[in-house]
Amino acid sequence: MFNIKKITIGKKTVEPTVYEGVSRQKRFETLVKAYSNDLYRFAYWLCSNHSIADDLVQETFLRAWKALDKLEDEKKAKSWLITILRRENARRFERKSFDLVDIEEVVVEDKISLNPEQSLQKQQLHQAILDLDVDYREPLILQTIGGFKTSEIAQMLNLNLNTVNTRLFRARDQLRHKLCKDLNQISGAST
Amino acid sequence: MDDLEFRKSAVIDPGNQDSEFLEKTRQSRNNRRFIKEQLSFNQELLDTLALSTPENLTDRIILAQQLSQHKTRHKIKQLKKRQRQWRNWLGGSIAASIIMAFSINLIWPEPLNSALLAQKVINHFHEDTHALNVHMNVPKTSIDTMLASYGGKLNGPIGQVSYLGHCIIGEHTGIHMVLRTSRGIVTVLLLPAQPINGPSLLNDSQISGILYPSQKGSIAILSEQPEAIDQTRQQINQTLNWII
Repeated sequence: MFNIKKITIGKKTVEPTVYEGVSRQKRFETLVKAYSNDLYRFAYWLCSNHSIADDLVQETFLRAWKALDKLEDEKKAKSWLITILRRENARRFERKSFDLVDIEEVVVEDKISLNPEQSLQKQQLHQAILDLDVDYREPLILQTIGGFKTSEIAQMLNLNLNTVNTRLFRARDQLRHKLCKDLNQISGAST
Repeated sequence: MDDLEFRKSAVIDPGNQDSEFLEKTRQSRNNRRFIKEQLSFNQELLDTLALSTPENLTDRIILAQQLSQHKTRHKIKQLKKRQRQWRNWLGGSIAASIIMAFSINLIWPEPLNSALLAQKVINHFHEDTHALNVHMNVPKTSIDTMLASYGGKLNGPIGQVSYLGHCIIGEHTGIHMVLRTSRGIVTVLLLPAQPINGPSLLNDSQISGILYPSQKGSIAILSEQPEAIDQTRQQINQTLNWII
């Protein structure tokens, strides 16, 4: 029932048994259950569109399934999946087959019930994050959703540590300024 | 670490656990207040970023992976078929008939003697008794996903499923389910890769059941309550379809 790939152990190459096929499937399902939600969130904040995020996550896991034997250290699974997703996201610009939606028109889905003031503030923050340049947005998402350290982010994005720190500083700084500006506009309009 | 450096570090990573950074935080009330503000903003950010994800995302991913496997296998089969046709054309009718006979044997494995499989099923049941003690409320979507990987489909509910997993009987995999029916706990083993030549009773001192040929492979139903077996068999026959 499972893909029969030869396994290399040291210098030996052997045919996997049916038991290894099952454990490969279970290993994959464990990865999906553990990381699909975080990967979806990462994809959404990267591409600003729910349906593209869904496609990206599906495609990422299909590629992960094919390359599962290359994942040697389970502790690196999350960063490995994010690397696949980032490559997949880059490919969509090469293919140009996705229908892009103007982010201004995207309705923010929010199932959490908030009071009107909280909801407005959250929507403002949501929009402010989407307005960030992707160079600033990406390390911020990796840090907050992914829980990665700045050194790990530098490695994943192939940047030096100082650049990552600068981008994180500017991302948070821009968000704060944007929110303050919005709040001032609201209070100005109400007086 | 000077004040400017401290404030910059606090903005970049307010959860920084570096000892120098923590020491600087402790040094003044202003520093502590600044860190508190940064952490509060960070939490706000996290709340916004952690948006809700689509329902059944994991099930859909697993289903897509299993369907892609089917497609790959189908492509390999097609390729092998074309290669066989080419060889047949070259090798003439005698070679063709040998290859065809061989390939037919590959695609439709010889039905097993049901008594042999029956013994393997009983052994598996006793090896896997932990499944009876699992109390998961398995959603139908999970059953659909796993069934789809074997080319199966459920047309309706099959009742409360408390365990669902892959199982290995002999050299083939199948689906192991435990159902909590009104008449008792029933174990169902779907063995789509194991066709048999006829039905066989499954009996030992602890368990009874039946193993019977299905549209694809065979199905085993076991229970300590014999009256639960027939009811489950009817339900499985009504709802389960093999589409591939």
